Order: sequence, then C-alpha cells, then structure tokens
Amino acid sequence: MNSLNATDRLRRLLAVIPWVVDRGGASLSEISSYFDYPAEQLVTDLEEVLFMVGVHPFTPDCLVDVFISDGFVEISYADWFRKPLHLSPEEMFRLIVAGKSVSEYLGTDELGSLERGLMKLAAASGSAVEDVVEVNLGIQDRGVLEIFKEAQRENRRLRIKYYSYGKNEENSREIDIYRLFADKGHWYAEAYCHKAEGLRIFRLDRVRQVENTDEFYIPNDELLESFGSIKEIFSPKEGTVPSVVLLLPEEEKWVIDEYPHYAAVQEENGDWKVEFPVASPAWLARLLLRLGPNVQLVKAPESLGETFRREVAQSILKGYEEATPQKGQSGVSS
Amino acid sequence: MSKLERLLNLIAALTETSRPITRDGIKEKLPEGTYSDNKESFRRTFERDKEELKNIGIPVIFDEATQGYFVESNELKESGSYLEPDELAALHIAFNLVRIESTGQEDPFWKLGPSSETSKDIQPLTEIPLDPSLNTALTATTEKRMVAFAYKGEKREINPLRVVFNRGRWYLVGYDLDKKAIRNFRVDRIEGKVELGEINSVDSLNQEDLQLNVFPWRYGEESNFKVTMHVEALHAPWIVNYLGENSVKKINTDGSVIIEEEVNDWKSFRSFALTFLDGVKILAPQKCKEDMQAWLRSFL
Repeated sequence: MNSLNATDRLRRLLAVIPWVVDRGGASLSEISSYFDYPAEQLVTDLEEVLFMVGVHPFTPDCLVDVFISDGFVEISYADWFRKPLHLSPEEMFRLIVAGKSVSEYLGTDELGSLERGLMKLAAASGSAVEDVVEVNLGIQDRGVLEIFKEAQRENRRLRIKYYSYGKNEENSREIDIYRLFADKGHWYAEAYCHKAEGLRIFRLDRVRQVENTDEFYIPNDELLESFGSIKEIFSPKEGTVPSVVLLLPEEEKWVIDEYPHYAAVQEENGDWKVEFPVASPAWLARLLLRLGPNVQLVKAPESLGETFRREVAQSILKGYEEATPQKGQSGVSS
Repeated sequence: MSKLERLLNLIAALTETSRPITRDGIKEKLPEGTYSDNKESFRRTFERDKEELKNIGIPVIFDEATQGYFVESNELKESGSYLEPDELAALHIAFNLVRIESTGQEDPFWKLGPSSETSKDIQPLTEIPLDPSLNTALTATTEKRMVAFAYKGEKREINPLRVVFNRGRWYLVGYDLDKKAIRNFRVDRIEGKVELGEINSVDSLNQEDLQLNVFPWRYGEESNFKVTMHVEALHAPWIVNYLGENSVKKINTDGSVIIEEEVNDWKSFRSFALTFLDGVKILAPQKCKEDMQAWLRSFL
C-alpha cells in the first residue's frame, strides 16, 4: 500500500499502540510488516504525530511518550489508547463467514475452540450476524469428504470409482490427495492421478466408490508449489485447450458469470461475444444444448462446430424415438 | 493540526474522562485551534469525527441526561471473557483458510490480536466473493429493517430474514410484501442500490420456510407440476443423491431410475435435464416431453 489516508493511519495506529505497549516494544520492521504500514510513514506518524498527542493541559507529562532507537520502538503513557476496538459489522461478518465455512469442513470433534471463539465474538459485538448468516460450501457428502480428509492427513493412497463429467463415463483410478477445497457449491480434491500420471481435479459428489489402499505416498514438493488460486484451477491457460467463440444474447449472460472465459466483449446490439476454453467436448455439448439454437458459434475448431452441435442434439433425440425405456423392463418399486 | 492528530487527541480526551463530556467541554480539553471557533463549523467537523471513530470501532455515545459524550466500553475484554489463545488461533486459521474477497477493510486480527501459530501462506479452503449490496442486505437483516430494491426489473419490498451463501453465491432470503411469501434473491442480481427502510418486527416464521431452495427450477411464480423422467444407470446414483430418495419412483433392474420432480420453471428444468445429454429422457407430462423434442429438433 503506497499512500494511506488519515483514517487508514488512525486505524493502524490504534492497533499498533496497545500492541507495542503490551510487548514492551517492537521493531519498526515488525510493526510495518504486521500492520501493513509503510516504514517511512510509520516513523513520521510516530515521531511527528503521536508524539504530540495527549490530554489537557498538554504539558510533557500529559503526552504520549514515543522512543525510537536503532529501529526499535517503545511507547508509554498511552493508556487512553488501550481500550480494545470494536469490530465493525463488516469485520464481524468476515470472521463469522470464515468461521462458518471452516466449521463445515471440520468434524464436530474438532470444532471446540473455533465455536467458542465465534460465540464470544458474537456475544461481545451484540450483533445478530451469527444468527442470520448461513454458509453452505458444498453439497454435503460427509462420508467421502471425511475419507478424503483422513487420507490426506495420513498420505494414504485411495482407490476410487469416479464419474468423469468430461468423458461422460465411469472409471476407476488410484489417487494421492494434495488439497481439498470448495468452489461454487461443490467440494473438490486436487490429487495426483496414477492413471493420468498427473494432477487432476475430482468433484467429491462424482466419486461413486472410495476405498483405502495399503499404500502411502510422499507428497511431491514440486507439485505442492505449483498450486495456484482456486480461480486459476478452473481457468485453463490460453492455448492449452481448444476454444470456441459464442455470440450470446443479453439474457444468456449468466454463462459468463458461470464459466471461465478468455474474453467477453459486448457488441453494439447488446449481444456478448465470448471466448470459452473447452476442456472437454461433452462440456461444450451440454452448454450448447442448454443455450439453444439462437446462440451463434462464431468460431470453433471443426470438430466442435455446427456439425458437432447438430449431432449431439440428434443423438439425444434418437433416444426419444426409441421405445420408452420404462416399458418392457421388470422394475422394482422403491 | 493534522486530522490524524485531532482524532487521536479526541480519543484521548473522551477516554480520559470517567463522565460524559459536553461538546464545548471537549473543545476546551483539546489544544487550541483543534476545532474552529465558528459554532456551526465546529459542530459539523465534530459530527464527522464522531462518525469516523464509529466506523473504525470506537463508538462515541451521546448521553441525554448530561448532554455529554463518552466512548462505549468494549464488554469483550472488560467482562474478562477475552479470547483464549486456542480460540484466537482457531479464528486465525479459519480466517486464513477462507479467502474472502477484500473490500479494503483491514485485517480484523489487528483488533483481536495476532497469533503465532498460523501462517498466511496456508492453502485456502475456499474463496468467497463479496458484493456491494451485501453489506446493506446484512445490516437490514441484523437490524430487522425493511429493504427495497429492483430485481428482474421489478421493485421489491422485502422484510429480510437471512443472508445465505450457497453454491458460490450470496442470497437474501426474505418475506416479499407484494407476493406475500418468502422469496430468495441473488444478491449479485439486485439492480442498483438497496434502500434501507423502517424497522420491522418479524413474526415468528416456520424455519422450514427459510430453507434456501437449491433447485433453480423451483423458483418462479408459475404454479408447479410434476415432471417424470428416466435416468440411466450411469447418472442414477448422483441424481438420487442430489434430488433425494423421495424423488425416486422406480428402480429398474438395469440400475436406471424413474424420477419425479416438482417443477415451477420448465425452461430451467429442461436445461438441467440436458446436462445429462442422452442419459435422461423426459417421460411426462406430454407437453414437456414434446417441448424437449421440439427444442432438440430446432438444432437440426
């Protein structure tokens, strides 16, 4: 942060003062890094502003005492600034959201300290944030999530039966879990897949079967270091997979919010021209069919163009022309 | 005198005194020239300063009886129930595990205290977006105040009840005065500003009504009807888990299932069904089956 306004500096100073007093002093570099306070600005504020602060009649014995020597700061006679600050509703909200998110991940036996902390904060703030905010990170599949968490903790290899959305098929593989995360309502595992010989993403609600193996893995540091943000996981780098350009009417703009894209430009008539990476043909097939025939395929590799769209529609339609599947089959009532 | 120095001296003056102190009293207790001698301009600057202090966590309270001001104490620390080290560490971990989109607010742990047990390099468990309307929606919900906003081109007046993060989005759940029913609103789809209204006491509502509807095809004002579909074995386990056991009408010997689902918004359900490609076939009602076929034919 380059330039701080008076409010930014006041917020920081009010946090810095009791912190420094409680520790009996702190180094300038420590304060600067912990409170995100540019060193030069910090020195000016301590020496030229805080030094002049105090109470009536502002004689030396009524002023804050700031002493800086060899980069070490000591502050005394600053009892007026020892009252703890109230958390703003937004800060409370952020803490509650973080706490509730993590609660969903943790097992009930692990929740103690976090729950107590959240309850104390909520009680002290007198705000109802805790009661009115609800956080659901993913479709609950507690069983799979628990097994994955345990496997990650033990570095134990898992054998799974998995429905691959991209290939629209079920297959078996062995995986070593590197991280678990939630995004847009689903839990995922990023894991080394021994079948694909690389890192792959698995959505937990698509895991059909899971069993522990007797094998253990040593986490590969290079893989661990290669992890980017969650957003990056779902946005393939340009050029690594084919892409298509679609012309979307304004009412189909949700697609831009929903899926990773390289570029989105609004045309004069209000339509959106958007380039999407296509990680699998099945994904594109679903999208095109959902959007309808009015969405124009502006640019696409031959294998993913108009013919592709027509053939997918045709194949589903064929199912409707065949005999209704429920007839002629012996069924078991649920 | 700089604004920073003025505010620091103001805090010192307000916390030093054990009794409320009048505005003129405050002026006298501060170095000369801190506030203007012009009464109106002094009042305006003081009000702004008060607001600023409130925003950063120092509420300045006005006491009617003495016509004076004082700083509200923080019960958290003074009641002796301050966070224990394990609680602080757990909150730190939670805060670092969840990346909440920044809104320019500083780290709340400056106020709560640092913890030596955590690192900011921790891999996040999730990333949570924020939205400009969220704060107002939240204020309204916690303070039980009415809100008005435009949504899908319509003006809505809502008695807000809950703020829910679901499937990667924030929703406001509230009682819609016009529709006379509980409705969910995607916060990022609220058009323009959310206007805060009067305080409204909430009647006790059935908690079940407040459950956020997760299925988009159950939204909408049209009356609902039942759609029956055949789901092939490959997709059956997922769909049964997603829609619930109650939706299953029949399990076939080949592992496929017949599902019945309540639908308000057919277009939305059609879209859902198409995500299974040829793995799902609509069986009834006839009008839906025909519409699906017509939709698919339109691509040919």
